[in-house]
Amino acid sequence: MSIIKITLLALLCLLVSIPIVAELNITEALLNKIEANYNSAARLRVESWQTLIDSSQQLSDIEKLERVNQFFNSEVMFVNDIKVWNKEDYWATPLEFLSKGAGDCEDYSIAKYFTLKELGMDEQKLRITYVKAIKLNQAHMVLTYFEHKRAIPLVLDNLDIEIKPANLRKDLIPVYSFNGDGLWLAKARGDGKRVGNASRLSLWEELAARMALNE
Amino acid sequence: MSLSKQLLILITLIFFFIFSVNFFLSVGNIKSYIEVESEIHVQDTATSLGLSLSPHMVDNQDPIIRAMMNAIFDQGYYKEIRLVDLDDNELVSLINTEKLDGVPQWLIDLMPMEPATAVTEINSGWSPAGILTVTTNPGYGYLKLYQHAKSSLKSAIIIFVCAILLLLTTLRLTLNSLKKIEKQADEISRGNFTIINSLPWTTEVKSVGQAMNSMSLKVGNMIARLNTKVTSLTESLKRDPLTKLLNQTAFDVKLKQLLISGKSGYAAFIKIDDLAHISKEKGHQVVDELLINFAELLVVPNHDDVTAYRLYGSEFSLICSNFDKDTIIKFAEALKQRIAKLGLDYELKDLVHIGIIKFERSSDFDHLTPAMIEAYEQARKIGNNAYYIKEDSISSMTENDWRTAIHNMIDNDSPQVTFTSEAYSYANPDKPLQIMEEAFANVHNNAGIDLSIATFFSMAQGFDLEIALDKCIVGNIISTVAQSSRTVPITVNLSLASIASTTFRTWLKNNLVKIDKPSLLVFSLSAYVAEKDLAAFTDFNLFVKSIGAQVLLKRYTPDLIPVDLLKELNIDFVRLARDLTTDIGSNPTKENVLDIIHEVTSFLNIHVIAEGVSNNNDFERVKQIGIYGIGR
Repeated sequence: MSIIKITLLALLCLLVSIPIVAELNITEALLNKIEANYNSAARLRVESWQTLIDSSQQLSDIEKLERVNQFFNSEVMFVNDIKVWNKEDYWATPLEFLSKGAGDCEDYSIAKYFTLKELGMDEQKLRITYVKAIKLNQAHMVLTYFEHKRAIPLVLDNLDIEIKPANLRKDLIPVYSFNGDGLWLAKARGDGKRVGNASRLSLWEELAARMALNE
Repeated sequence: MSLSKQLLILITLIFFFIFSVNFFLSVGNIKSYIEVESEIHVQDTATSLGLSLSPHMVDNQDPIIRAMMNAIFDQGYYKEIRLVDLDDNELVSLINTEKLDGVPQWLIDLMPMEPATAVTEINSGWSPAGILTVTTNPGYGYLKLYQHAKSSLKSAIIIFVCAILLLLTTLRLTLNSLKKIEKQADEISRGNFTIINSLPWTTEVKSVGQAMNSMSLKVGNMIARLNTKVTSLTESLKRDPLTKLLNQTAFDVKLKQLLISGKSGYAAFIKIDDLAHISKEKGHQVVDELLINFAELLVVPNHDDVTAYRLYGSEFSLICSNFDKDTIIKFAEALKQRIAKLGLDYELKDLVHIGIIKFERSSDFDHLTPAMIEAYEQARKIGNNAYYIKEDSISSMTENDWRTAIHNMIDNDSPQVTFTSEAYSYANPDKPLQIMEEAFANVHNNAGIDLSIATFFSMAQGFDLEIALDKCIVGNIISTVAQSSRTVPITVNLSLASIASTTFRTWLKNNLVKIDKPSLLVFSLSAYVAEKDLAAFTDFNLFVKSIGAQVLLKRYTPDLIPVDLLKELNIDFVRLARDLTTDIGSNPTKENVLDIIHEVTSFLNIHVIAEGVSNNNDFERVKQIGIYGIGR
């Protein structure tokens, strides 16, 4: 193989790897902005998140689940929206979530879902599930992973930081689950946004766009 | 096509286009809206039904599942609701194949709508237990779309009609001003220099209106100035410069007018017998003084029936209309006394002799002057300053002879029409183009002797036969023209009575259909006849235009009808009195008059023809002035 061909192949590989970062669009300017708007810890969290994404691409599904679950459960505090955003219900982007360093169960589930998707996980294996947390006696949300459609799902939760099969989570009563698009449709309509047109974005694309604008 | 129609069609098309596009966009938008709403609705249904079914999916054969699905399905909004297990085995399938009434097929064909489908997973506990598919019935969407299209179309039509009505009103208001300007332009082109008093509010149209008003005023003033000038010039042409008496031309016109109008009276020829001798003995100055004094003597104050003329050199004349024999004798005696007295002042016992003749309707104009000279010669034989009255008729025929001759012509329909007085346009000097000729009726008495057509008509007028005579002659001309392949317009003379007669007009209209090109006939009237009843002449000319023929005013001089009045007569041609185009070189005034007539008539779109321009010098000058047609 000639040097030119090798160089071209290397360039191609580089180009293939670029979109992930490019999609997140976490630039130095953005990091500076986050630092200016929040604090240096926020910047560090976002940088760690970027490192997580960059370094976990080649891991197995289970390893990815572990790292992502562990990252968010350890980096961010579980706080209600009203305290963080001064709103009853606010779905933060992972960037906002990390910048604030706090969020509710929905923000955890979304950030985990988004990150796993960025790591190349098959969306069909992921569900966001509405549950009732029996001990807290409140509505809650978790991310579930189905190795196959008849498998007992693994639950990624911020109340119980360990990933466990659903049948071991007696503290949770499942109510309903959505895939990513379904969840987005339901939520977006709840926010009074127009949905369903031909050019509709997925939640994840919209989140990426919001992150790019640093909304 | 009028401007208003063009604008109306254009704007209507634009409106129609806008409304059509708007209508289709509106229907398209509602279709998109309905599609989106269907998607949302079906997704809601799928989610809600899925949530409801979830607790029962432990036993996917539980009849409550079908019962719940039926409850939703029977609302009728769905084409299909299907539940399958994870292995795609059908658990419940509800399908509605009924089509919704009230929606035309063409709408479905024109705007196809895909039924919205939503798929949702149903859980049983943590695990998925089935897949629910809900598909809407597009019939409801079509019904909504059809109802919207109908109401949109109705609104669009109402707005369209209102817009067109508004447009019509606005156009009418705006274009009404243009119509006023158009009318003004027409009036100006006809020579009526009107002004628009209420100017329109549209800025551009108002500017045009102001410009038109300004132009109308300027041109009107110019024509008025030219008219004043030509009137003054023509007046000077009629007068002898030394004595200020009217001249030979004026004498001829006056006498012809009197004969045509059937008046009678006396005409006198007065000649200072030996002016050359007086001049030799007493000098030119004395002669001029004598001529002036003599002219003053001829002018009788407060006597409208008597007009004095200086014909040429020592020759004078008087026309005494409405005089009987006693009056003329008294008048002649008094004149003789005054002349004798004047003679004494110049030590001339025998100054003049006076030849007097009687004229009446039957008098032949051409015979009058020779008769006057004959009477003068008789007077010379009588004695100093004597006068002689020639009482015998100038006419060679009795009244009865005339009546018979006129009746014979009408009854036998026997006028011989010839074509004469050809006039040519010299616009291309190398190739003169004939533009006019005159139909001339030869009339004769029972003995076959030619008679004067003027006298013939004058006599016919006396017998109330001129309309019948005109019909006879014009009928023959029409027949002649109809049978020939003439292309040159023909002047056809008419009497004033015919022109004013409605029965003659009807007859003319009915007979003119025999000619393919009525414009070949150019009906004419002498200026000194037309001047007597300009209203009738103008009215007749309008009638002539309406039947496609043309009108010529002949023997025209501006003193009879002012040039600025020509515009109101609706005439196509003016034929000048011969005197105006005779001996132009020796009288610069004539050239000025011709120039002005040419200038004004050019503006009024009236063609001028000069007749009988026999002298080469006159011909060249007339040509140079640019007179349209010249006859030689």
